[in-house]
Amino acid sequence: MLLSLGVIGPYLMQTTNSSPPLSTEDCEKLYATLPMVTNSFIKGRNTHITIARLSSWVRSSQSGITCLLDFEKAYNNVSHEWLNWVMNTMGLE
Amino acid sequence: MESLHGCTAHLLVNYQFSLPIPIRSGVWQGDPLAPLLFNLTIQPLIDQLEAQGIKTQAHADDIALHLRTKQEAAKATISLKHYEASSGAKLNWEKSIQLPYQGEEDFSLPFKKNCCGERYLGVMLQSNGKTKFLPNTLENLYQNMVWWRRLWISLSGRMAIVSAYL
Repeated sequence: MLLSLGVIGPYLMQTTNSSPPLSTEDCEKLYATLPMVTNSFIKGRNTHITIARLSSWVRSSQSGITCLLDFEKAYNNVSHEWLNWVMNTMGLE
Repeated sequence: MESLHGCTAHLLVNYQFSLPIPIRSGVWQGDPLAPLLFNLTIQPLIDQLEAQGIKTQAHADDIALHLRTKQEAAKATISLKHYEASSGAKLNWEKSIQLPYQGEEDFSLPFKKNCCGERYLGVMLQSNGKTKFLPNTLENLYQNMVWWRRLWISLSGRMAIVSAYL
């Protein structure tokens, strides 16, 4: 265990300290193929893309404010009327 | 709304179980449908923000906005308030973070200001848009591994611990 960590450690440091592995163009290509929805639990989407996109926006605009929102008990506070309405509007029953 | 069938709950009252109470709506705890339903409910918010030209990223309930002007900030605040009122979601206005780019003026947002950086989706996001490896990650992992090694558990138990941690 110790040995393997020793081998992987420097590599991890090296890769994660630099910019995320996907380039901005790759991200945009991926987004063009899929409709705009949240990045989670969908094939082809992961946190790398989310972070790469966000950080590319900030770095390219060199201004502005980034807001990270925090929802209180997000999964528990969804009203059923709202869910019904969204699903009906999207054509799901 | 009827994904639960035959689910009952018992309440523990004065150290005695009550009669079973049928639960007729909602989804099971840990149901794989839950995140997908949540994605559906958050979609209108993201659509609205994008339609107003606000750059939005969402990973389930971890939403990040990039606001460039004061007008965008005002629009985003209104959209969020509308979403809160219509969907029942509660935004933690005090715990939400704003990361201003260096020298950026105040947009009078009702969020907590943080100038150095904030943890987002497992990395440290700095105000200049660069990401940083979280400090002490490897040291903590190594200490945890030493501790787990001493635990007297099966291989599948170890796998569960490691996957839960990662």
